[in-house]
Amino acid sequence: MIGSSRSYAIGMAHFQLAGGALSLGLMLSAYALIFGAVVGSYLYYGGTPYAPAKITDAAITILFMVEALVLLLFGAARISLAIRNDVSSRMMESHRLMPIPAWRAVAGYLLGGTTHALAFAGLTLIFAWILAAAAHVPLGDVAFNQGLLLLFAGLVWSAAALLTLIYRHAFFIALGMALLGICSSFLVYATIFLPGVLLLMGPLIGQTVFRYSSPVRLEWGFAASIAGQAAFFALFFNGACRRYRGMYATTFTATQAFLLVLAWVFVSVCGMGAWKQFLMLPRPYEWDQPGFYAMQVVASIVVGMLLSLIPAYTMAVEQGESRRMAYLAWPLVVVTAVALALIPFGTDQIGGLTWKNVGITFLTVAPFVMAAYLFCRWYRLVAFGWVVLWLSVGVVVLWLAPMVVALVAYLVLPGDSQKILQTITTLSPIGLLIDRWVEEPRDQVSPIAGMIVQWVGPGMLLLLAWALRRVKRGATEDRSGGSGMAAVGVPAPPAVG
Amino acid sequence: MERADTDFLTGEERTGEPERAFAPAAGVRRTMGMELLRVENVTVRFGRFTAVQDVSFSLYAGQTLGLIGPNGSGKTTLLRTIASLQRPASGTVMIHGEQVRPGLESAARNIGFTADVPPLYEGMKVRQFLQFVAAGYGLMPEETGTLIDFWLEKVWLTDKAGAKIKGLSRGMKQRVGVARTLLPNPNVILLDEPAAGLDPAGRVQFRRLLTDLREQGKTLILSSHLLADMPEYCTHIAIMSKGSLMKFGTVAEVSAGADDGRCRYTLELAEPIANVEAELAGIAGISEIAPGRLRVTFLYESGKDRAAGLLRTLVGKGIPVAGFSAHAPGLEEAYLRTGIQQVD
Repeated sequence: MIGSSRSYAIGMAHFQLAGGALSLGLMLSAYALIFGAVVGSYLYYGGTPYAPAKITDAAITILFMVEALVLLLFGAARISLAIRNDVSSRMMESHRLMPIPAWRAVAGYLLGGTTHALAFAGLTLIFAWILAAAAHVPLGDVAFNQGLLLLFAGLVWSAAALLTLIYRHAFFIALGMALLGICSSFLVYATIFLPGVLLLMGPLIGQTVFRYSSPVRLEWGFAASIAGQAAFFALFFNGACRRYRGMYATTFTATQAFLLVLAWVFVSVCGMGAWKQFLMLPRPYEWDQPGFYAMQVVASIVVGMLLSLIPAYTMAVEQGESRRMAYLAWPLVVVTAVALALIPFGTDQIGGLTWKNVGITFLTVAPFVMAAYLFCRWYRLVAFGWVVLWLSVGVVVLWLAPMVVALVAYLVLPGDSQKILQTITTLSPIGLLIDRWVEEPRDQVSPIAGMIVQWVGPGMLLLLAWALRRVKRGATEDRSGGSGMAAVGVPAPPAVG
Repeated sequence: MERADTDFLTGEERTGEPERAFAPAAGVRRTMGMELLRVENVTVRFGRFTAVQDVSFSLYAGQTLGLIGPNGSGKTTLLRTIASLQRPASGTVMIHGEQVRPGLESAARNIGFTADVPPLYEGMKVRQFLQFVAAGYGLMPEETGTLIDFWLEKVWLTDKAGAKIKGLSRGMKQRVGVARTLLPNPNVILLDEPAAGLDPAGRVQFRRLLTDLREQGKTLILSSHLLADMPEYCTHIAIMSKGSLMKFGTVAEVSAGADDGRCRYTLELAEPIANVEAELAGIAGISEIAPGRLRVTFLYESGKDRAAGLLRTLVGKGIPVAGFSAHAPGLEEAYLRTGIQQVD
C-alpha cells in the first residue's frame, strides 16, 4: 500500500498544479545561483572586517530565517490554498470518491503543495552544512535545528489544513490575526501569559533554532515542547482527516476532544515550569513574582475552559447518536474539569498550592464546563455559533463584568472599598482565583461563599436558557397542532464538508 | 489504434480488443444478474429541512434508473448519498450487499459519480488529469495509457487529450467528467444531469454510450430533465418530489400509470381569441386547461372517435383551429399527472 501510486496521487496532483518539476528545478537553480553569487562575492572581495566565524554564523542564521519563512508562511499558505481550491471547485468530493484513505489524502495536501518549500529546505540544509563546515560549527547542531524547524512546520501545516477544512478562509484570517498580534505585541504578551503557547513555539523563541554561536541546549523543556508539538500535530492531523472525509458531524470524537484539552493542560503545566528556558526577557526578574505566575495560571485555565467547549459540543452531538456516550458524557465532563484544575500544578511560585486549592479551581471551572455541555445539548441542533454566543455572554457576565464593577467600585467608593472590591471580585472566577493565590492571607470573603456564587451564576444562565428552550418548544408545539412531533423529532446535525 | 476504430455498440466489433479494457479494476466484482444496489429507507436532512424522505429501491446489474423530478426534489442529494458523499440521517445504502460507509475502499471502487458540473483541475491537461485519476484509483501504470485512450475515444475527446481543461467548452468538460467516472470501471454509475452541456449530436452519442454500459451489466442512475430521451436507455424510472419517491417502476409501468383513458391534446389557434379557457371549460370532459396565446393544452378522453368528435365541437364553437394533436400517454404525461409542483 505504501508503494502504490494512489498513495501519492493527491500530493502529485498539487505538485503538478504548483508548476511541477520544471518550476521546482528553476526555483532551486535560482536559489543556488544567488547563494553562489553571495559566497563568491564575499570571497572575491576578501571578506569583511568582522571575524569569519561571525559572518558564517550570521549567514546560517539568515538562511534559516528565510527557510523558516518559506516553510511556515509559504508552505502553510500553499496547503491552505490547495485545500481551499479543492473545496471551492468540489474537487475534494472527487477525491473522496477515490479509494484513498483520508490520512493519505491529508498527507498528500501537506506534502504535495509544499514540495517546493521542502526542496528549498533541503537545499538550505546543504548550504548551511557547507557554511558550518567552513566555520567549524558541528554539523549535528545544524541538522538538529533543521529537525526542530521541520517538526514545528509540521504542526503549523496540520493546523493550516485543519483550519481550512473547517472553514476555507480560516487560515488566512488566523494568519492576519497572528500578524496583527505580532505588530501590536499582543502575541508577545500571549506567549508570556500563556506558557503553553510559549512551549509550542519553542523552536522560534528564546533558545531558537536560529542561534548557532550557542547551540540549543537539550533541556527538558525542549523534550516537553517536542512532545506537545507531536501531540497537537496528531490531533490536528486526525481532525483534518475527519473533516476531509466530510461525513462526521464533529471534527473530533469526544475522546479526541478531551485529549485536546489534556494536551493543552500538558503544555501549560510544562510551559510554566520551563518558560525561562524559552523566553528571553530583557529583565526577567521583574516578572518573577507570584502575581505573574498567578496570571499565567488563570490565563491558561481560561483558554482551557474555552477549549473545553470542543469536548462539550462533541459529547452533546455524540450523545444523540451513541448510547455509549449517553453514559460517558457526564463522567467526561467531570474529567475535563478535573484536567483543567491540574493546571496550577505547573508552578510552585504562587504559594500554598494544595489539593484544597486544586479543589477550589475544580469547583470554579466545573460550572462553566457543565454549563457548556448542557448548552451544547440543548442548542446543538440550532448551531454551534449559538452555543459560542451563549457562552461568550456567560463569560462576559460572570467573569469580566464583576471585575469591571470591582474596579469602578475601588476607584469611586471611599473608605471600606477594599472589602467591597473583594466581595465583588468573588463574583468572578478570575477575581476569586487571583484573590486566592495572590492576596492571601488577606481577610477575604470565604471561599465557600465564593463557590456558592460561582454556581449560582451559571445556574441562572442555564435556567434562562432552559426557559427560552421551553418557550421555543411550546411555540413549535402550537404550530404543529399540539402534537409536539416537530420538537420531538430530533434531526441529526448536517454533514459537514 | 485498433480500438479507436471499433464500434462501441456491438459485441462482435469488440472482438480483438484487449480484455483488460473492459475488465473490472482490482477489487471490482463481475456483476451480471446480481443485485448491485439496494437503498433502504434513506432519509437525508439538512438541519430541519428534509431533502430525502424514506427512499427505498434496489437495482440489478444491467438496469438503468432515470431519476426525474423538479428542481429541489432531492435527486442530487439522493445520488450524493448513494455515492457516500452525503451522510444519511437514517437508512442504508448497500453495494454488493455491503453497507456503504465513508472511506470504504470496495464501495469507492464500485461507485462512479459525475456531478452536474464535474469538478476538474482546470490547470491540467486532459490526459494529465485522467492520469491523476488513474493513479488515485491505483490502476496499473502500464495499462493507464491504454485505458485513457480508450475512454477519451468513447467520449469523443481524443484530439483534446493534450489540451488544457481550462480551454474546453462546457460540453467537453462534461465529457471529461464522464471519462473520469468511467475510467476506473465502476459497477454502479451515478450521473447527475449528464447531458446538460451536450449538443444534440453529443446527446445521441451519449445515449449510445449509456446503452452500451447498461448492456455490459453496469447499474446506472441518471437524473435528468430530458424525459423524452429516457425510454431509449432507461429500464426503470423514479419520480421524486419533495424528497420522496412518488413513483418507481419500469419505464412501461410508469408510463402505463398515465393511461387512464384520457390523453393530452394540443390545440393551435390561427389567431388569439378571448375567453378560450372558458370556451373549452364549457365542453364536457375537458380538464387541466393550460391556455396560451396561440396554443392551448388540455386533457380529454383518448381514442380516435373521441378526438374527431372533439375537433368537430371546437370548430362548431367557432374556435379558429390551426392545428390539433393528441399525445399518447408517456413519461412526460406520467410526470405531469403526478401533479408535482415546481419547488422554489
